[in-house]
Amino acid sequence: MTSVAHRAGRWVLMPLLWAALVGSATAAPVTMIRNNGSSANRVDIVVLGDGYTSTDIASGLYAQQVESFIQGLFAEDPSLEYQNFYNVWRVDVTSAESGVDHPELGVFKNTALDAAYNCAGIQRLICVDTTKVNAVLSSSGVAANARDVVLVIVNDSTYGGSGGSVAVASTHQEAVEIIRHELGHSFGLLADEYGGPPPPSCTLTEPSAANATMQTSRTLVKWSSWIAPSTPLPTPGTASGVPGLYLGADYCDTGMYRPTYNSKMRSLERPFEQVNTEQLVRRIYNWVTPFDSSTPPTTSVSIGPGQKLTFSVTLPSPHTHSLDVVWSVDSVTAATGTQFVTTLSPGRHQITATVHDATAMVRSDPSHLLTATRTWTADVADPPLTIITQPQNQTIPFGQTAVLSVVASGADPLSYQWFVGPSGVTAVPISGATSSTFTTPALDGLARYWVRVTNIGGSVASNTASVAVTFTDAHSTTDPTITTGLTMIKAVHILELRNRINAVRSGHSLSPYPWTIPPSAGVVIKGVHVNELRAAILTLYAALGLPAPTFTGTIAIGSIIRAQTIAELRNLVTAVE
Amino acid sequence: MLHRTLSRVGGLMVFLTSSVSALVVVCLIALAWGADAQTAADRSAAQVLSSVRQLADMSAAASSSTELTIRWSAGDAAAGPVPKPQEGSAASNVFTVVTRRQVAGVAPHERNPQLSPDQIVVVAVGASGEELGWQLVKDPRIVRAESPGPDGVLTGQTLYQPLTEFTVIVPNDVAASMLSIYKPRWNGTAFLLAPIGSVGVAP
Repeated sequence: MTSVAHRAGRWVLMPLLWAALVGSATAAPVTMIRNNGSSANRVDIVVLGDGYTSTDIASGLYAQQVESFIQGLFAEDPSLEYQNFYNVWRVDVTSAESGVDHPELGVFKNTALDAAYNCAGIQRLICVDTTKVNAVLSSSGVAANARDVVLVIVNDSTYGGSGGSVAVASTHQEAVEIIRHELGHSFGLLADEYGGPPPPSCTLTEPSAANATMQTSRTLVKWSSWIAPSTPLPTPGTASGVPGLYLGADYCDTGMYRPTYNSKMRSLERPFEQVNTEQLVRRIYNWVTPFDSSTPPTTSVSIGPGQKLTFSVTLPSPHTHSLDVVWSVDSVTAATGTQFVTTLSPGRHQITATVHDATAMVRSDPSHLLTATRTWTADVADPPLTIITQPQNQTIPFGQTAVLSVVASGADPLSYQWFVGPSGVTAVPISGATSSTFTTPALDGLARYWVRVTNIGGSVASNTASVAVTFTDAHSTTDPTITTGLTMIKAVHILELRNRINAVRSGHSLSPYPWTIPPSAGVVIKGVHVNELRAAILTLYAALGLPAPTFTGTIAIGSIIRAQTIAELRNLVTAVE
Repeated sequence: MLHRTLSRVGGLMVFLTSSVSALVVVCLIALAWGADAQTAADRSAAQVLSSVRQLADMSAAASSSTELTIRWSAGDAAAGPVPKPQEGSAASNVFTVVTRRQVAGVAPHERNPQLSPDQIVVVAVGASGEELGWQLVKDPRIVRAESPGPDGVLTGQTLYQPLTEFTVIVPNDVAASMLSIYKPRWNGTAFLLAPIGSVGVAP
């Protein structure tokens, strides 16, 4: 049996003793009775009981009364709609005696938290020893981030309670209304919406609370977004749930206004109404971010080209509506929903998930509490430098040009350099041939080219593109078209030229040329055959009184004969036929 | 065995008392620091809260924190809850560390810290006076007494308990040597922080 005065005096005199007591206190069992997520992202209510004996706890009485109270607490908005944003912990605090102190009746109980009615001489006011409350919380192991709201339920059905850093309520069925109102103060930072008489005294200064103002200018009223243009200010009448500017609030009968005619911050058994509800939702979001988690867990990801990326978020869930998620890639909206699968082009991209609670309960959210974003940086690797289309072999008429081209993929920019020769041989780069297409000079014989493509990642060589040149001679009856690199020069070609030379000689009454080297089928045609033909043509031209023709290159003995060499001889013969 | 250190902080005599036992008791007597009297020492709350980090944010990265239970004696404990001291009155605020406990949890993070006259602001201060982090705490002294009248409209008053406790979660990697304690005061347009005391917390 204790009194407030006795208790207080004892703490002043014996702080060390109390500290020792705390240190040895037996931890009260803790049960999580609403588990909606990590305490790091929930509003956590911790409920302690006072005046419950071990029998009361073992029988389930305490648990039942806490459950009943919590159900009542979440029976009205905004707690109803946002109940999944809360965790609730029940601490089974055992008292030596059942019930609590009623000093006004001379009833005193030995309880764990020293709850007592008639606190400060106010019959319905229940006070507890907050020192003991803190000691129980510390020793019970309730996490540091799980004490956003501390509530003590006392085992007494007489109407009563109190507000403050620790809210206290009896088990009276209407006591939950006291707690709702008091949480409006301690959790919602809301003002009372009633006037005098003092105490508390009226202070005509613009309040910090969201639900009281001295402003009468429509645009300056804190809750102007809730006031219909047709609602007069100040607002007369007693209609429920009509936001306006109603005289009397924050302990002032005049000069101070409240948002609605009546609300839970003015009278019990009333809804909070729009403006208070809005503030309470904002306060919930002070502790709860709209994101619970997101994947990938790291904010930067690196993937190869063409790979799919999957992003997802998990969100707290209001009771009757869902939070909106919008995904954007490089600030361009790409998708909605809690999961986003995408394939991104090579390079660096920024992926953002924006979550927003579009609840109608909130019209003004200047701090953007109902919105949150997660941003990832995705680095998508460039594809390897690859030649998609190789320069192609071509055959062109003698003296014409060929256009070669290459198609490559890889990180831009790509640069090109064409070379003469087989792939990989860089001895003869072609000046100015630095684009994906290359036009050869006019060709009189077989030529080979390749291109080297380069980007920041390296270089790649194309295949060799061979450009063959065709030679057509209308006077020839044996292979009138021969192609460098493709047409094998055979005995028939030599014999035909001999015949045509002799035919010209005959036409000019000249004796046949005395051929000395006998080509025959199957014999490889070599330089000696060509040189003999050249000599015959020189002789012919001389006999005809024509200037001596010039021949391209010297034909070494034993050389394999190319088509353009034969074509040159054909042209010279044709010229005199 | 007690070690006593006498030092001077802000012109006030400070007695730091520590114990080698598990119980650490450090007292600061801050006489004449009125909880409600506006002084030149009042600071812009917005400036403090924006220039110093939340302790909650710092503890998120810490492996563990220390839960400090601070006793606040603000008057005659035997008198029980009393009406709010009037503006300008002098009050004695004695803050004492009564328990120090290692906790795995982190302090709650506030996304949009909003002040109220019903709170106190605790600022952790380093050995060289640098402000390290802050935490908002509900004013533990407050007891709200409200009841409906005949017309259903509430009436009530706010009482203040002269002897209370509150807890502060200080990350272990925050080298706090002192907690400065402020009372938010609304001037009609902004909150000011009125210093109401401090307490040494160096282990």
